Amino acid sequence: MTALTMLQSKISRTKRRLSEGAWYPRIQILTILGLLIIMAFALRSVSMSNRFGVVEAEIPVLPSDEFPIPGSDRKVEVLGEIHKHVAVVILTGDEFLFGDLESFSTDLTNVRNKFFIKHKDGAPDLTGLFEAMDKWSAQNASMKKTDLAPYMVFMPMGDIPMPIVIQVIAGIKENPLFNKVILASGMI
Amino acid sequence: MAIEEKRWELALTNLQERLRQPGLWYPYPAMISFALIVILTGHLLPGLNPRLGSRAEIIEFYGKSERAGAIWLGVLMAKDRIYVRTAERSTFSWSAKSDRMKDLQAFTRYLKDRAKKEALSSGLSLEGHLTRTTVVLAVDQRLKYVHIRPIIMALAEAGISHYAFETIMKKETRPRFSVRGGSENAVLIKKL
Repeated sequence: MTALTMLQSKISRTKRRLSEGAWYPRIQILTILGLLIIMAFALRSVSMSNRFGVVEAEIPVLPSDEFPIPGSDRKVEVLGEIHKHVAVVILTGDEFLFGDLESFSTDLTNVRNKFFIKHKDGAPDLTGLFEAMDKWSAQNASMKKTDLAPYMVFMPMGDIPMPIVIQVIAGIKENPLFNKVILASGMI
Repeated sequence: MAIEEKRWELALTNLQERLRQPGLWYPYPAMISFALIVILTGHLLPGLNPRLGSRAEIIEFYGKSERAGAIWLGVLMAKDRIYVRTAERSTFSWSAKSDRMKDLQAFTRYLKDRAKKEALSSGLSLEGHLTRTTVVLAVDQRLKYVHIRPIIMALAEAGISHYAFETIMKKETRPRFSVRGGSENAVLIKKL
């Protein structure tokens, strides 16, 4: 390195050291970044809808004497029980399958106690499902003398997107036949 | 005389210029913005709406209004991992392909603790019931049911029986299903 280059480098460094503008770019970048973070939160909070709703589902609860609530002798209100005549709806990529719990458990091999409703234009046909379930319920009431429980077990296949699952649960709850949906998770 | 004065003035100016030091104000704008970020992230943001920090895009759909005191959880998937973000800004994650409840141990523990706290606070305010703690799941639209199943199992393990899926309602959103007539839902439900 020649003496001239060294001198120029020294002058340049001294100038930079003594210059008040040396901090400007760093301060500006940091301030802009900080402002961007604050603005991102502020804009998101302004643009976000403040109306949220929920579509409810339930996990069945079993009363147990093994773990009583301490200091409480009140009886647990039983809202219903899952028996073999509770309706089960299975949602696959092509169709709805429905029947009672017995038909999907102890009587699985019987082909006459399960019904299927194909999807309409690739979308779940809830109207078709409920029309078929109405007829099935009436038939059960007259032949088996059993009334349909006001809750149903709904089991979507694993590959069904969540928006479909949520909308189908909401659709089922709109039906006066059912007021509770038990989302079956299957065996994992 | 005048020339002599000018020379002195020039020499003084040169000396002043040479001895000039940069002002000490320069760190302060940076410190102010840094402090703002620290205050916002550390104190203000946890108190803000928890949805602000969640990247889960939830479904636009008409639903019942949310119950107060519910445990809110944002669920989304990124890089083959499921991320659950809580209202307290803590995050739990596990592999999207995992079906072992062991991977969800920390999450289950969190649910149990929260359920206890909710039960205690609702009990103290004489408003709630021990078994009525509700979990609200803000599920990202890209998730499939298989990704939600472990969460439902964790809820069951934590003793929570009531849960709900969160929907966003816009002003024009109305109840969509006409179960007894027409096949409006066939159009509204996205194609599989």
